Amino acid sequence: MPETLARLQQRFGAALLDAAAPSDRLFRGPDAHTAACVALYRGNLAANWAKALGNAYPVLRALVGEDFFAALARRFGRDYAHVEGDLNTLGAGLPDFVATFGPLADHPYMADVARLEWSVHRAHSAADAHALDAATLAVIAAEDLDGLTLRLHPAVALHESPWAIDAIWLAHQPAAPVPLPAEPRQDSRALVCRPRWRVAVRSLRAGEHAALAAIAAAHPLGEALEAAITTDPDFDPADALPRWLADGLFIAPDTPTGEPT
Amino acid sequence: MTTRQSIAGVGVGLRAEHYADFLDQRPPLDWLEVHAENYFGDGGWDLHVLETLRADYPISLHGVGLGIGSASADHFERHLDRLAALIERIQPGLVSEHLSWASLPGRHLNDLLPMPLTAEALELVCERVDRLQTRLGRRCLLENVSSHVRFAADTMDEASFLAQLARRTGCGVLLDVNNLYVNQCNHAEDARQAMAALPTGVPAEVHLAGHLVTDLSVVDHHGDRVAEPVWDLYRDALRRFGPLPTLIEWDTDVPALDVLLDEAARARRETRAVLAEADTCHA
Repeated sequence: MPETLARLQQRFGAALLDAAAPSDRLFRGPDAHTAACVALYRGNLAANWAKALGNAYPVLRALVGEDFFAALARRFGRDYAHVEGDLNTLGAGLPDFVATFGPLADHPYMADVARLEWSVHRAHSAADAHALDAATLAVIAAEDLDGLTLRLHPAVALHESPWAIDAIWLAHQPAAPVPLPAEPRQDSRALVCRPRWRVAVRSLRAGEHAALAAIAAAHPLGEALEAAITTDPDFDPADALPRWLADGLFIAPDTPTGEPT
Repeated sequence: MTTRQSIAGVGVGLRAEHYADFLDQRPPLDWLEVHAENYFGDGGWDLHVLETLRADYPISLHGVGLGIGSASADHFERHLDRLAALIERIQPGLVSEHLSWASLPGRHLNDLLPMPLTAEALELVCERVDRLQTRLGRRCLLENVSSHVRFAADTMDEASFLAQLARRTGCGVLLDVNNLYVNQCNHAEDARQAMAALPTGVPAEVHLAGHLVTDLSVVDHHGDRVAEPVWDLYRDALRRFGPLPTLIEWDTDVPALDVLLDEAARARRETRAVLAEADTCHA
């Protein structure tokens, strides 16, 4: 009775995931040669994991180094089965994996850096939307502004961490480098946005974060600005609002003009 | 309204490294091909570039993640949903996938793994190609893949498998001439016999790419210029099948676009030379 297709693929797959799994007589040719060829496929699998994860987590890779990252990718790829034919979605579970990965126990900030990077990765391919601009906002009567409920652009994400994840991320960017903080233990808040298609990370003060978190929770603008001033008396809406609009943080209400971004 | 495009001549694989070149200069190519999965997102820069370039170049969507020959159907329908949505948005001139498998129950292996070439596998792939073509409402192309191994259980060669698949489902073949050459080296399979096993009219696109020769096996790495023996095979393919849309593929250590344009120019010259031979014979 010949082996079924399912059985042949299961045996091949098992040999790719575990070098100790036997693939004897599965393939034509001497076992020593075919075992070496299966090892080529096994190497491809690990290389694909490392490449896809490195694409989503370049800062984490720089922090831990190439070799460590490749080993991390192998463990993650093997232990957390990917279930999609699109490698761009591999890695959603990496931050939680990093948080419990024994060899990184002395670097507890890594998981939060990874969470920020996953938001950056997702922002690249988030849905397009027309961003609210100053001209559109200007036609809204001043007395209506407080009651206005804004919706965040699909690419926008907010992060809060007891570690300096904003500075760590920014220190690894080629443009406008800031020095890596000497001490990672420092409360931080970060914003991911996508003005004109380019994904950016902004470092936020507590007040600004409180306002945007309130908007994300569908509170009206007036309440969001109140929350900001309560958190940070120095918060200045006249400074923050133009920056938010320039970063395309909000979706334009109805009848948009121009192209989405 | 966005309409379906037709594809002929020589194209290259569009890679992110060359977006700026394409957006700034619109280099003279007949069409572009992309890996479908790289545009499975909901939006963003990549899709924006693709939709922009679509106005000037017909697009071919080349899938690398369907794993159409996987015995497990765990991932098939979901992947097909994403592919169908992208096709709706781009209205490509060609849609292709690989004769390969990728998924096990509960796990996707994200590679183009070679098929066991058996009657059972042929039944399964015929049924899947029917579902693919019915869902998309169009003819699709299946590409022959390179491989480092052949299953002991095989009862036919890949070209016969593809010829039967095409006859039973009406699908076309994306003839990867480099893969034929790699398999000739790795498994002593005659590449010209493989082409002879495919009826004319079945191959509807050609892929040309570079490979890497190692002590163990020849690797289809898409990281070099097309090798001379592969150009020889390409000429023979044109003699047998006539001019076909031809793609220059480069995925590893992607060079400056000029190198790809140079390879594309060579493909055009080879096509003209083979057409001239035919004219001489008929004179």
